[in-house]
Amino acid sequence: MNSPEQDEQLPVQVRRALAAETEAPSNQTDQNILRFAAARAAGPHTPARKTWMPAAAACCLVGVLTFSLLPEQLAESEKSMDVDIQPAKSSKSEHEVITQNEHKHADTLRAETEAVSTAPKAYYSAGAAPAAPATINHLQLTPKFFERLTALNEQENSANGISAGIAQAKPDSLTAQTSRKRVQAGTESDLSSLLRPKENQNDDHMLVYEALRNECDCGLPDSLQQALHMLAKQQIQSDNSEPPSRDYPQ
Amino acid sequence: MTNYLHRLRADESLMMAYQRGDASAFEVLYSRHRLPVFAFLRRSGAAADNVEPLFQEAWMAIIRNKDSYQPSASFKTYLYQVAHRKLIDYWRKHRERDELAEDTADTSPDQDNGLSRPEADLLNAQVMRFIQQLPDEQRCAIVLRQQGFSQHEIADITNVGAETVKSRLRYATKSLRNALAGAHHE
Repeated sequence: MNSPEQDEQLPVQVRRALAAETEAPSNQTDQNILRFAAARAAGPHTPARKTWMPAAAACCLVGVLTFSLLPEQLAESEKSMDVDIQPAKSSKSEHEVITQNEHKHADTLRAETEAVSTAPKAYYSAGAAPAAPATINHLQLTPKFFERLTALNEQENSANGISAGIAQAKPDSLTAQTSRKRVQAGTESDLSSLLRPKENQNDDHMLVYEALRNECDCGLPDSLQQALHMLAKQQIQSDNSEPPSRDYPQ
Repeated sequence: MTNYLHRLRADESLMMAYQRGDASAFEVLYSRHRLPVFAFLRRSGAAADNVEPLFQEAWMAIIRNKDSYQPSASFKTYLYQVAHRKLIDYWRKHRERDELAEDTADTSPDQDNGLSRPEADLLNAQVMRFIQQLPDEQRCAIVLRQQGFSQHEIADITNVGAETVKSRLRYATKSLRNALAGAHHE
């Protein structure tokens, strides 16, 4: 039996047979291979590949970075757009707030005006006081004035029946022309003398005088001016005849 | 002059020179290995008409992939690795070993139209027919071993372990001995 080394050794016949093979490639094959090798050695393929491969890798990297960062940038831009849009909304709401404030202010003014306008009606509706015209609102007469004016009228004209005349007198019943003539009938000196407060007059009279002095030139209706004028005249006359009763607290 | 100097250089140095664009270095390499590689392909079972295409494809692959060659590896081993891969592809595609065996049988002295041949040629032809009847990998190992490659080099070329190569060689040799003994007895 042969050893392993002997088994691995090829028989002489085999080695001779293999060595006897003398076939060679054709000249055409040799030329094809050598021509191809020369073209590859000096050809542009290898150096070109070396040069464009880094550029291609860089382009791929830029593309990857671009496509990976683009959605984030778009999201950021959308956020920034939202932020930019937000002030417009706030300005609009501010405008609305301003408008609401204006409406509120107007409502407040209207309410205050109505409150002032209804105040004299309430006072006058209690009794003998005439219905105050709408133009009296801007005089800003205090309720205390009207109370005391009404009490004074009742007190002063209870005997003469003037208060009833005043209460029944309406601004519409007297034309503007008539009231204007009556005002013109008296000179300013007479009016000032009539409205001049005296030393022995009480606080009610002083209130009336001060109100007339301050407000008669500010659009006080003619009827009221006439009534006040007559009231003051009668008060002066009564003061000259007898001292007024001290019913009011000092 | 250049080719003369190239002939003094090793295969690896010539291949590095060709990587740098020196075509004459490749000419020297090709002149050194063209016949052994062609014989390897021819003896490993490829039909005569298919040997040259396989040979050309193997060298074309060496040229195209010259930049991937590393000088740490033997160029000869590298060259036969490429040729062996081409041969494996050929085996898988064609399986022309049987046809080649028939062609070899056709050229037997008995069917040679009465032309007398020397006894050596008759014996070589008979041995070659036995070789062609071996399994592909055993035949490849026998051919490579005949061309001077060690078992480790054959293992590197065929991409198998050294023990596998050893086993293939043992089985191939035993088969050839048995075939030659039987033919001698006949």
